[in-house]
Amino acid sequence: MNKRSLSLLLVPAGWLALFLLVPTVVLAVRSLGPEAARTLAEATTWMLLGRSFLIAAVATVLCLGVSYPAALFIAGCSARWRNLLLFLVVLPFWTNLLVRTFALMFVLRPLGILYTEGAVILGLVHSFLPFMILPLYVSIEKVPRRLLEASQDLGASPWRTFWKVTVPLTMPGIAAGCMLVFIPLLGIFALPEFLGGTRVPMVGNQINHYFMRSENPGAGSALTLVLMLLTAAFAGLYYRLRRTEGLV
Amino acid sequence: MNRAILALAVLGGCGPSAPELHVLTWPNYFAKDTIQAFEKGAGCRVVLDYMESSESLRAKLAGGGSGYDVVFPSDEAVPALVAQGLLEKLDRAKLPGFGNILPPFRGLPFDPENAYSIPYMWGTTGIAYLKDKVNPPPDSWEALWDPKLVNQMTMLDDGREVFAAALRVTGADLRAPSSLEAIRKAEEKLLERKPKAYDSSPKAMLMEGDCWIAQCYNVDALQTAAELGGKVGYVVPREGGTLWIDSLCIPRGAPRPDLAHRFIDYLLRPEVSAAITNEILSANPNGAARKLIRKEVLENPLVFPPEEVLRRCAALPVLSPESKKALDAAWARLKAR
Amino acid sequence: MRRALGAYTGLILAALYAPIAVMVVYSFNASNSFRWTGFTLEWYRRAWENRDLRSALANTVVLALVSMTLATVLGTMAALAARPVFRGKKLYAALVSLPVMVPDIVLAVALLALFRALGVSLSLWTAALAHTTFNLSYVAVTVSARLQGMDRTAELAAQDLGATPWGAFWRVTFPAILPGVLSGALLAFTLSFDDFAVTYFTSGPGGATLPVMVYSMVRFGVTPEINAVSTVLLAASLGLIVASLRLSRVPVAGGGR
Repeated sequence: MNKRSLSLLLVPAGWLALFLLVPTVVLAVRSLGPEAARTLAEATTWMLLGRSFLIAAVATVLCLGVSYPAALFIAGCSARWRNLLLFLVVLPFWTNLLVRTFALMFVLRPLGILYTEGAVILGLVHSFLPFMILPLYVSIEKVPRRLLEASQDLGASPWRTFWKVTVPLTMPGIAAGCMLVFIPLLGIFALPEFLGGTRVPMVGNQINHYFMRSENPGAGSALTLVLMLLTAAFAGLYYRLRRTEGLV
Repeated sequence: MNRAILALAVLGGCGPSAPELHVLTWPNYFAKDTIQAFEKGAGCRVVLDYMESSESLRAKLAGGGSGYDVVFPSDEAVPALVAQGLLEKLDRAKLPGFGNILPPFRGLPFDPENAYSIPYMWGTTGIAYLKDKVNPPPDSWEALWDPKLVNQMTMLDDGREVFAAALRVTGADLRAPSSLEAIRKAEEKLLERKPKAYDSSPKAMLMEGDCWIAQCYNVDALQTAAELGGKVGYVVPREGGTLWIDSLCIPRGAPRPDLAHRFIDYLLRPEVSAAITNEILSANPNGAARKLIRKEVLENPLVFPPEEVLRRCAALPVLSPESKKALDAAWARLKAR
Repeated sequence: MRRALGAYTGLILAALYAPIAVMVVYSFNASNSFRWTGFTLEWYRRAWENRDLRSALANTVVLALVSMTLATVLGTMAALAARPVFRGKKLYAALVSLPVMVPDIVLAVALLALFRALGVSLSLWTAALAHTTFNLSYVAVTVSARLQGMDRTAELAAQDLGATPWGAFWRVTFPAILPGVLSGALLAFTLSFDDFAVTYFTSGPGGATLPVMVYSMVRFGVTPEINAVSTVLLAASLGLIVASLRLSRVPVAGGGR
């Protein structure tokens, strides 16, 4: 490896070492106190983690289900329509999530479902639709038309073609979309707080509580570290399965 | 490259020409002109940050170097902040206005020599409710446990206050530091039902009708009542409520202590103090300001409670470290469920 | 079938835009409540005069610009450095992509812990450092995706023909990856602009950005000024995107994301 490559490598590596590795070590050190130990020993903490994973998983699967038909449609459009639709899908991304959530409260309040788990899951799915639609679209678009035609020529119904050809071939997109949605969902806290109140506690809310509402950095650090390890392991598995040469 | 230069130029030009005073306080805690008048007089800019609960103030100051110049802790937070060395000793020579504070409010147990804090406003914690939804009006903390209201109830986002309400209902003696057994019983009581939300300022929720009954500071309840035209009631339950005092303090390492002292002294001026009370409807420990407070406010029993209500109320007791840990753990557990 | 899918997509888009429509419409509502009482521009005027709101907007923009710039430089470097195979590359790749693999609250808390441990006062600058850190990864991942599909023969040919490695980079490689770099930069700006969790944990007094301000306002009573600001921002970003599309004539989907 030549010298220029080395300097290219070291500068960002140095930055990340200072701003990622060192903080992780600090978190680990902070997690060695009695407060942290007590928090990790309690059943409620693990139930909270479990519930957060469940809510995130449900929201991700629902998001996938809601997004796939839309992505399918967009991929089948002419180039002009495609660009317009994708643009429309991405544009809400440019409004502030919290403002959108507050506006969502406006919409959900008359329906009487505010402060329920359903409202939170609805809000989560709604907020992360663009993150799911885009990777799905990219993947669907890559499926060669001739394969679909061949399948139909061989007598398969559109349904069968869909499940036996399209879906398996778009697995990378499905996986990417799910990762892009599931991981951030695990740490989210402002949205569940607004839409669910106390009824939908998630890990993010609890971490926020430990650092910002109650002075317990030890417990907060421990919980954050656990979340970090769990999600990194999850994502690590995903990247391992993808087997790529670059960074993605 | 051009972008970098542009960013630097923007940053360079962004420095304020006037000194900035950073204040951490509750929302709606000043009159409309209070801050602006001070800025004009002192030739500075005041930057207000709001805290979500009195515990969050402790969290923000933890570790020192928070960057704030003036903070508004409640009485039970002050001793802990002092013990952790997070507050600067006040220079009383710079605070001649201290003489305006009524003698009963000076030298209170949490800061016997007013070395670190100057009283700002005081009030009670009780129950706010929507009059047309909650009939008859509640008179006990048990109302928060009413099965008919379980989906319309909120409590303060403050472990001490939440447990204080539960302790009063379970009959623990609050003038002694809470014992572990009492805390355990309170936690059990609190597990009986979950509030809709923990909100230290349930004004928005009351106004939207998201909650009908709320554990609430009297100041917030009164402001909500003023805005909703009397549809909101407030009561200090018969078991008693918390008597709180918010103080003005300077955190350790404040960037502009002189300006901070000036601001505190400014708030002690009778006309400034009275204007604030008149607008935000909070009780005022400033004797010199009394004559400038509007009659309706002075005679409002929810702002300046009568003797018999005051007798039921008590300040939040200082907990032993052991009790504090138990309470914090119980509070975190409640939130996690 | 196509028709059903089309109707469905329309429905999804409508649902997606419902809250945004509410936000825009109510920014013109004469009263601060659910009932429509009349058209007004009062909130826009008040938002303009609201010093804290202006300050928060300025903070948000500065933060986004600074972290985007730094992150684009560092992230591109990281992506380029990851091209050759070298010892420890797997570890390096894991390090660079870690911020993308964990929820943002984890990064926020980790950086808060670092700043507290170092005794650094929180401010807009600590937030900028934090933003740069996560943006770095997103840029690196974006550019790396672009690099993967790239044909290196042009670069090698340039070197064979006598160009210095530096020259080859600037004349051949960089123009080729430029769409990816720009995509990454845009992504970084957007993420920074909209970020809540990281800013909430790592910014100090006076360093509030728009999302942080909205968070505290939602608890204490939002005024439609926020709706007004959000509508303006939406219109501005709409204009920006349309303008950039016109200029570059690059299909939205193929931007190397």
